[in-house]
Amino acid sequence: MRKNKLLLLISSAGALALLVWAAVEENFLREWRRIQAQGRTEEGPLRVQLRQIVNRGLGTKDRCVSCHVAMGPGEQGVGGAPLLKPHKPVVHDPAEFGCTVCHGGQGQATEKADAHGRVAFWPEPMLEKETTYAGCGTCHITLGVPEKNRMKAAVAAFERLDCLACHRVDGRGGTIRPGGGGMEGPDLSRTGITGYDPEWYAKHLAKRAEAKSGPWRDAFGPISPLDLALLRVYLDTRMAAPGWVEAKSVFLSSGCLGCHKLSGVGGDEGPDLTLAGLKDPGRLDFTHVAGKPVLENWFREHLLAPASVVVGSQMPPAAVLEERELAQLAFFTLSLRRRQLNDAYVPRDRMLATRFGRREFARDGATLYGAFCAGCHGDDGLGRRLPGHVSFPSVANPDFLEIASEEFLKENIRQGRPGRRMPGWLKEDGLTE
Amino acid sequence: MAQASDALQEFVTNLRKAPKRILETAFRTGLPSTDRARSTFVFGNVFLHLHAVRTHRWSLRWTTTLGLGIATAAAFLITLVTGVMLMFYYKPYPDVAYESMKDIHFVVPTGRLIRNLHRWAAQVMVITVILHMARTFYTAAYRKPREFNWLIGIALLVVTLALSFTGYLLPWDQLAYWAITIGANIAESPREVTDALGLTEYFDPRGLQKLLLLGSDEVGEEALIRFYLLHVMLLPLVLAALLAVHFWRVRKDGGLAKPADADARLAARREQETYPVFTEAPVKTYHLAAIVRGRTPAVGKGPENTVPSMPHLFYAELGVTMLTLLVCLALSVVADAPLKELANPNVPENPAKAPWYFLGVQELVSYSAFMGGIGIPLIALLGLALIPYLDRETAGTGEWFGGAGGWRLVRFSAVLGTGAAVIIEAVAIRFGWLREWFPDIPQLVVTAVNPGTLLTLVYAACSVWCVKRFQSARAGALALFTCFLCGFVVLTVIGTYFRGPNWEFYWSPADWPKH
Repeated sequence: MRKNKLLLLISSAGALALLVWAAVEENFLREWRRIQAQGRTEEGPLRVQLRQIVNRGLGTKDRCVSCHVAMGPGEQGVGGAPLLKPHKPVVHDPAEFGCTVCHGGQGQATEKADAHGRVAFWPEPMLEKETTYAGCGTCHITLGVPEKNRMKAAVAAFERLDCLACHRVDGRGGTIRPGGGGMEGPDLSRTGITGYDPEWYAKHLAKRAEAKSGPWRDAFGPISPLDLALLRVYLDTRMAAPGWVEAKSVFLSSGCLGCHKLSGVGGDEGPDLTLAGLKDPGRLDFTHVAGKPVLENWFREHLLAPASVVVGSQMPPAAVLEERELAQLAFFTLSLRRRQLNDAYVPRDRMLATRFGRREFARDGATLYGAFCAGCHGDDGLGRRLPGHVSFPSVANPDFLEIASEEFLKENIRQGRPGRRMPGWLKEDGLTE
Repeated sequence: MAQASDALQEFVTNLRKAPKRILETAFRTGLPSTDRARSTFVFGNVFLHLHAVRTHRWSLRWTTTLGLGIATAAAFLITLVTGVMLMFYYKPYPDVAYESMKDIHFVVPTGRLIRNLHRWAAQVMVITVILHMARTFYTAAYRKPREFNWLIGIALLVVTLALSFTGYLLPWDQLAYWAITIGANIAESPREVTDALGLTEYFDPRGLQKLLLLGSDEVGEEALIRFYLLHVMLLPLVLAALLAVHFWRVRKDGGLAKPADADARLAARREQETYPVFTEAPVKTYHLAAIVRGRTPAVGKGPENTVPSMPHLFYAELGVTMLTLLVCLALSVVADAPLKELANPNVPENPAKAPWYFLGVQELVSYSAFMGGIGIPLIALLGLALIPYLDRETAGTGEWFGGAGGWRLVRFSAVLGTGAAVIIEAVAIRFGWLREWFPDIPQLVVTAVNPGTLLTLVYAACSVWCVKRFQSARAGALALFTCFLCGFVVLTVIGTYFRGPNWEFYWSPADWPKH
């Protein structure tokens, strides 16, 4: 019996020790507790407790604010540790929206690696700092974006016409009225979402006619119709995320929609891209991918050599060769994360795109060509010859264009070329003349 | 005046003595200090009177039982307590269940520890129940009069596995969902035979499986709530009832099995420290309630070599219980219970694996769904159940590897069992099986001739040979049980470590093909 008593004593002592250790570890050694213990508010030390932002509409419970305390509601005054910095000023209040809807990651977690989602078995890691604006694509869809050259021209026109003298866009430009009363002109960073007065040009001209001196006389002047059209493009696409919109214009110049669908618009040859940015990196093959095993690098490699990351892929490599444009395409694909949203959180632009048939791309010929055709027929229209693929014919050859009638071209576009890779677009709802 | 201060003084004295008195009044007969008092204590206590009042010293030796039965019961107790605690936060509805698991892990105070403890204690329980069955078999403790208790034990084994299986689904992650899909498909595998025989319109195993097990056409919210009910209420009640009968039978069958010469062997050992046998002459015989046909506390015969259960048996039980708790706690603090991604019916795990104790079965199922999933397990259970009724010998009861053949036969069968399993598996893995050689072969032939049935036949042949060679059913039983145990281990190991996507054979997970 003595042996049993000894066994009981030792096991009990061991069990007790383990329980004490577990209690200590949970109540004193957790990282979020140690971080909060360093926190200071005006009233004194920060109260150490689990913090979270719950949004029932979005279905999120984000406990990021247990470590990032100063980003929580009403806690901006907290300081004392490098981690306790408030959130940068942004349009969407983190106190209402939470964190994961924009940044990704695992909101319910309270350990760093788990919370940042960079663990096995969490399919949505947090977006890297460079690609944070990809989170906008969760809810937003920019409408009427043109192909990249036109986009560049629009941006250039805005800069050239010196609108930044009075107006602020994305933190640049604008002047404050010398007599007080705020900015000279309204902030134009989000006109793509809020809209703007269509009569603005006439009103600007009228103001200029009235003014005797000052910015109205010096900074503003008549604008040519071509430039006006470009400005309209520029204003229609301002979403306070410039890199994202420019990336979309590159996307709409690469012909991706020729084979891929995006929110119901596009071709059937390739997989639907509406949720491409939410692919689970844990299920992807990174053996041929350079750099960190993150989704945007996988996209980059996919664009360069599709068959190396997707076995049996029929996709021709992307026509862009510039490193920057490749990165932009990868970034834009990362932003394609249009999951189902509670109606209360669907923004106007997405409502217009998905329910009212407004197009994400501009309706001019160059953009349509860039959005649907350039992937196979080349961005210059002269076709593409790629190893392992059937040749894609040139459509911009001047001799061909002289012979081919407009009806012939239209018929080819409507019906496609059965037996070859050219798809027909007649079945596409809303294909207008 | 004097009276008032006396009364006041008495009041204070009573108050000071109250704590000790509370303890004394909890026990109707006071804290026991004599053997008779200890006997009455056990006999008269609602929680303790499942135990016999006196325990034979042989039963208390560590090598008699290795404490495995109590360890299993202790593991069950731990899962019971932690399970109830988890029920405060777990929500048995798809997707919400997964969220509640995340909350339990990250936010609920001690949630992570409790959940880990629950999972580890469940694993420990399955392991100890198998080891306990092996111990009972090898010490021939199933023999008369303990045959029925052996059957209760088989029932407990099945209920334990069922508890583990139903609990496996509850986290609703990829691991859970696909493991249960495998299990449900195994349950409908009699379809393989009914289809081949054309009987499906009369007896539809798939329909039954969907009706009873899943409550729906696929694994979903119906299956989850059903498994939840089974796991938290029905199966624990059944287990508790069977446990009570199991313990009761141990007592009524005369305590744990011991060799015929146990008393002589104990006399040879040094006297352990025990409380004095009697501290007063017995003043009355035992109550009528204690008299049962034949196997009563012996009246008129001195209680040689028995000691009062209180405290000897209870210290032994407590020691084992605490050791089980220590092991489970250590595992829980060191290793997290797994939780993969949210269950996604559109993305099958590849390979989708059943819980580890079913992986041997799954390996056999990969050759023939019916034989591997239903046929061989049923044969095995039937064989186990019949052991006490086929082995009616008496030699070697209570001895490790007792009976004709002994340890050498067990060693031989272990080698044969392991070798046969490895060889048949190697042939099947290297060269494929009937379907690869003859693509048009009828299904029934494959059901009848596959590695599982072949292995069973080899084991049966070995057992029959042993019966003849040693002229003893016990020898046959020793051989068969050992062969099956080794076969189970080999198949489980192969299923766990060497099977990858599409159930192909790989030497290591590093060789698995990527997507």
